[in-house]
Amino acid sequence: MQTVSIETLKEGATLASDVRDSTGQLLMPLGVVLTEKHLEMLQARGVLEVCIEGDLTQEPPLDPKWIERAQKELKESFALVDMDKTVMKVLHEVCVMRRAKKLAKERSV
Amino acid sequence: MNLDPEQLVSESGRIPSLPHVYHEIATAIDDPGSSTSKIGEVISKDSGLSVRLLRIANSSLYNFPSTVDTISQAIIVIGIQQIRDLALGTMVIEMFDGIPEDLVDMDSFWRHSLACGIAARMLASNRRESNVERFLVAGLLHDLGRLILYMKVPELAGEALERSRNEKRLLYLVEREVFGFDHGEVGGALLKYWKLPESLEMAVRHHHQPTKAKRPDDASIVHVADIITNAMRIGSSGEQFVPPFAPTTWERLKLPEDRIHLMVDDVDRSYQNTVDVFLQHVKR
Repeated sequence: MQTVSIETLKEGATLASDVRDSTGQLLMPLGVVLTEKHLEMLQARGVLEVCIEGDLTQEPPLDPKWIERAQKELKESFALVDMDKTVMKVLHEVCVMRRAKKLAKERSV
Repeated sequence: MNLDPEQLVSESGRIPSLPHVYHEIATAIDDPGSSTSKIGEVISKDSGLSVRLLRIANSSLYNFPSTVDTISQAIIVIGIQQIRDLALGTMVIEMFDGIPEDLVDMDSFWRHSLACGIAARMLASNRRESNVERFLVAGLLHDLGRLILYMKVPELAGEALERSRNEKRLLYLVEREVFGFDHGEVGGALLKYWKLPESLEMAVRHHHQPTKAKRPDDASIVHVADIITNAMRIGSSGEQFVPPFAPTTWERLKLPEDRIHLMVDDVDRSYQNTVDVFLQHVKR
């Protein structure tokens, strides 16, 4: 269970506790699987965050083949930098993972 | 070959000049007696500009909770100085619309420039700088010198591009060999010719050697933003390699390395909406 802000909330999530307004009145009971309509309603009622089940921060593990492919793709672009410099190493890693995630997503669509 | 950046930008022909309304806006803003509504009036004379500024005010850059539908409101939301900077940014994109694309894909050029602007703005707000929009604009204009080179000396500019590709070397270093200066100098000269603030000129002029600038912090922000944008491979102004960090530039910003992934995410998050807002009116 975790608390997420209404902006990051996506349909399909399950409420892990009741959602009430500032007066304590029940808006939506726990267990509801949120649809687009529910999200609109929560937003309209000024709800800022809700508790949902599961952990959104945990992304499914990435197949290493995408990471390898992303590394290959970026090799040429990063050919002239100093990889011993920490900030460059971090930037490279972040960009490889960003590209790998994109490749995996493109494939799954 | 004897070329100098000042001459390149001041020779008549094909170098666009800033629209008159920009100077009117700048004058109104610099006049301490001007009210918001007076400044709004000046901006409203240019309906295209007004529409674009309203679009910016309503974009995800500001996340304002309600719709901003008048220029006066936009000035309040965005800020007076910032409105001038953003007006400049959108005007310049429009001024270079329709230039020959033999050497550069303009869509890709502006995508690189905008992403660099977003990254610079984000670095600046991470450092709690005042008026972050001037960094958005500095990033947006940082490679403008390349456009001048592509327009005015296309043969040499083409040669520089080819050499950088064949010899696998950084384009700005090849430019220094071919021209005796790099595109940063040309961009700086152009902004000076347009009589824009020196701080902006310096950030653009020295974005490949920030420590030479009078305000090295500003130039360092653009320098680092350019590196991040090249690393993310969003558009290109001709460079195909990620440039290395110039000595002491990253350290100067005093930002922790572990914040880089958040910053890259931030650029991704703002990018599409900002492109829609800034590039919507140019030919695609």
